[in-house]
Amino acid sequence: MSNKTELPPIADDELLARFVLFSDWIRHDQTVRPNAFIPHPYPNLSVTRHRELSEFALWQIGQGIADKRSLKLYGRADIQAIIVKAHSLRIEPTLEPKNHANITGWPADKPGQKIIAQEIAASARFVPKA
Amino acid sequence: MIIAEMTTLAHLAFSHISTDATGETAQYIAKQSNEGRCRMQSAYSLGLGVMGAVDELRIMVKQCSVENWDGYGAAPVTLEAFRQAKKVLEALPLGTIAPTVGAEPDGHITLEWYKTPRRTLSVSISPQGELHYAALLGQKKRYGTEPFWGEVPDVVMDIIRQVET
Repeated sequence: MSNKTELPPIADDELLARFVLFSDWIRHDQTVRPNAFIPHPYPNLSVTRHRELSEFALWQIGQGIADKRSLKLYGRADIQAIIVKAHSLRIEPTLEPKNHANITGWPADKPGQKIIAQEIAASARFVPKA
Repeated sequence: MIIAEMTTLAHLAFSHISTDATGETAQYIAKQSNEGRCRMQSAYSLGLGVMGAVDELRIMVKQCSVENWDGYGAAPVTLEAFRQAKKVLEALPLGTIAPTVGAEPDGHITLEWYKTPRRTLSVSISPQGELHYAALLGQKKRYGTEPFWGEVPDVVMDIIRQVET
């Protein structure tokens, strides 16, 4: 069995979490800045699927990422998969780590990435870490 | 090496006057002009003005001037990127609402003007002086790259005004 068949496809209404590791990714009014969603200089943007995870388990994953990078976990920015797909991006699930997915297919130029990141950020909902 | 670079960075970050003027009189005039401009910006903007953004920039650069500041291999924000961003801030017309500043993993510096999530401008400043901008203006969007030659490009100023209104 290939890896792909083991991973459930990503539904349009599925929620994806982008963990917030920098305070300047969040504005004073608790909206999300586009910098949270710009992959550059990396080719992909990492997100975590909410799918079948409890709130506790989701935060555990976020805390693990923050700890690995020696950063503080401020919260998470939740986005619906359909918002990502609307910009011709692909969401590719990976086997490891658990519930991880890469958002791929970004334009190569930075302004092109920035405008998509702004659109996604405008639809994102910030959930602060309790 | 890192300490030496950071010391240089800190020295330049906290120097308030930058001028090419030579001669005692020319330097005095340039100094007075710069100081006057600082006072006017503070007074005009009633609160955190453009000079406040420069202060924010200094703090951010100090935090992000080392390799891997994001724990994921980020490039440091260099002295050159700092200089370019400071020049952009200083080139803004008096009375312009101050942007917020941020760092990016490629070492660029972000300036953001924001009213709502759908009325916002983000400008990434590269160490080479390129301005990569992207703006949402209601249902419209504008994005592209402009060089910075000492004056804020008209297209960027136009967007700043649209965000502010």
